[in-house]
Amino acid sequence: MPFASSVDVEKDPLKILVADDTEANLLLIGKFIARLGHTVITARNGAEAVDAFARENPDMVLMDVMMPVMDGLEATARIKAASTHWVPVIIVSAKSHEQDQAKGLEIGADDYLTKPINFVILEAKIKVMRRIAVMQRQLSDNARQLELYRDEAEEEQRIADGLMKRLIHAEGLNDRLLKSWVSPTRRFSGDLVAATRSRSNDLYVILADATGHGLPAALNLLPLTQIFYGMAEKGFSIAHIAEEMNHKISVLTPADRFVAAVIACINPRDQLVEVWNGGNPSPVYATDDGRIAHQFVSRHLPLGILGRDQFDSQTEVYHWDTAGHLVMCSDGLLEAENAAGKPFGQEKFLQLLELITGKQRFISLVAAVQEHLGSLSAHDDVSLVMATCPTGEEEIVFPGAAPVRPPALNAGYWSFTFSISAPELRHLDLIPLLLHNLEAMDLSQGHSSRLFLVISELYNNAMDHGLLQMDSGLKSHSEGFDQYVTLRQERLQSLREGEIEIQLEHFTLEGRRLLRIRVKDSGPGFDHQAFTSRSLDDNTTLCGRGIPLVKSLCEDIRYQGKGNEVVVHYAL
Amino acid sequence: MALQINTHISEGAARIVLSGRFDFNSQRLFRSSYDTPLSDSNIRTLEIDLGDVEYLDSSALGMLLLLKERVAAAKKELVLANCRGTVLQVLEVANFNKLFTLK
Repeated sequence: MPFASSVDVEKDPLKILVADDTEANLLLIGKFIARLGHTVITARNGAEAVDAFARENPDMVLMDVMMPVMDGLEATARIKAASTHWVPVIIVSAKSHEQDQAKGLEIGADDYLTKPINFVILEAKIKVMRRIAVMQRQLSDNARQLELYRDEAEEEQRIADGLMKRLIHAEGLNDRLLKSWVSPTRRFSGDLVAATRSRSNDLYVILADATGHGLPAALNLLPLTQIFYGMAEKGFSIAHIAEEMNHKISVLTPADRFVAAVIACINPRDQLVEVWNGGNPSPVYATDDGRIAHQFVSRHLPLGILGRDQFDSQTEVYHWDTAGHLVMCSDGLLEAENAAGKPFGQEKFLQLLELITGKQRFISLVAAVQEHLGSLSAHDDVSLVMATCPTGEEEIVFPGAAPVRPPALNAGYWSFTFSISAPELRHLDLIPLLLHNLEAMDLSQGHSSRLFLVISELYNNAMDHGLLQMDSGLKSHSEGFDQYVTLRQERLQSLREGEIEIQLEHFTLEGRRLLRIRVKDSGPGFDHQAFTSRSLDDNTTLCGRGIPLVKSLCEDIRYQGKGNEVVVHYAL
Repeated sequence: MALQINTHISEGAARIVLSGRFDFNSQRLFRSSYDTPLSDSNIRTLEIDLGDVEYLDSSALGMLLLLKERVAAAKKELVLANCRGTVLQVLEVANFNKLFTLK
């Protein structure tokens, strides 16, 4: 190997090939080089030089130009072409033959010497060539290392990518009500967009923006996906989801890392949007007739900054009476700069929503951002989510297959009762907990959703009418709805006494498995005897107690006592 | 324009004036600007003047959070001064005005 990597490279002897057709020259140069301490190999013409080069692997070549059989230039070209690593070639030519010098350098020679050879210069040039060769070798070593690192990094990224994709469950985003666009600046997005349906078919959506971008930011978001899917599917409120996420982030990440997030719950049945926004640009409700009807301003700090006690999970609720879209984006979109350095801006964003409505809305918005950027890439991850909020969604689509009704072969009796009083009622998400217990009893997903709805309706009635004394009449028009929500919030917060009892009993009757659900509240009840079975079909007379829905899912429904107790039978 | 920092100390207060872009690349400079005032027992208040900051991103917010923690640990006071325009907007959207004292 040329240029052995010993400590004192400067002093190592070299193997130098000298090619010249004049015997006297060969002798002279050879002796000089030997006296310098190097080994000499001789060749008398170009062809011999090429052979000697291949055979001896010299560290350097001194090539005379004018030689028979093959001239020095041709030989140089061949040697250079055949070399796997850099070997310096110095051509030797007559002073007046500038053409040779130029051509030689063009062909690939590294330097030239003119005849008669000045040996002082020859010695100097040999030193220079050696220095350059050492540098060259360092360079190719570095290049090889880099390639190795790059291949390793590529492989790691590929694996991380696959893992991310599986953890992020992109299928939730394929919901028929949803359109989304994520354009990360690096391979991994520091923005998270995810969605899923709950048991009651509400659409939960999250848009989260972690500090920074690329892999470190994306890693901060992973714990959130697990919390989001786990809790949303069980029907936990977004207030609770925000709480859990905040806790997870503050525990897992350093103080200077946080996650700005919007969590939204869209209930197409009741035409409600509930939003928690901490540090993100305001989600907007844009109607189908081009109005910005509502903006959900960020009222909270981003996730991961405050401790559990200081965290505020208060959400904002909006009821829509005109169909439209809930539109959310990350600040990367609003701050995206065009070639002139001008950001896209919230004004333009809102203007476009007012101008373009209907099916075009999403694609037009995406196109506008891309056009604004031109060939530039955005400085920060860009994310956009649009959820359709329709009116007149009467039919409920239950997630999961239709319930299977197996014969009551080995089904036994079991029962449990939950009794919760005022302080806990204020902040407990009772229904997911109840369902968790039910699930231990091995129910199919089809039953799960229906039961969730039945128990929710009965529980909400008990709470709203029994304990909070709310008047559903308020809910019939839009402004009234906001009032209703605010009033309910207030009353719930100041609830001092009251109790709700839920009992679930499982038994078999005439070969059928039944679940008896009883909900009792400590409220005053109502004059249920005055109501006939027919009025149970009418939602309004019972002040929106959601009874028709419950009735359609259960075998029967009956009020007892003062009217503060209701019993239904659900067939499993 | 990259971040530039000037520090003025008077009457037990360190006024750290920032100008230019306060972003991910400003970490080292920002941190070194408050290290000394933090460990100086004669300094009771650190005031970060953002009046001349033209751009503030989430990394900068993170740096401020870190500073807040360290100031609290040193039992000193922290004030953000002259927050206006884009800077104020960013702070407000993130609701940092609830977390920091703004002047």
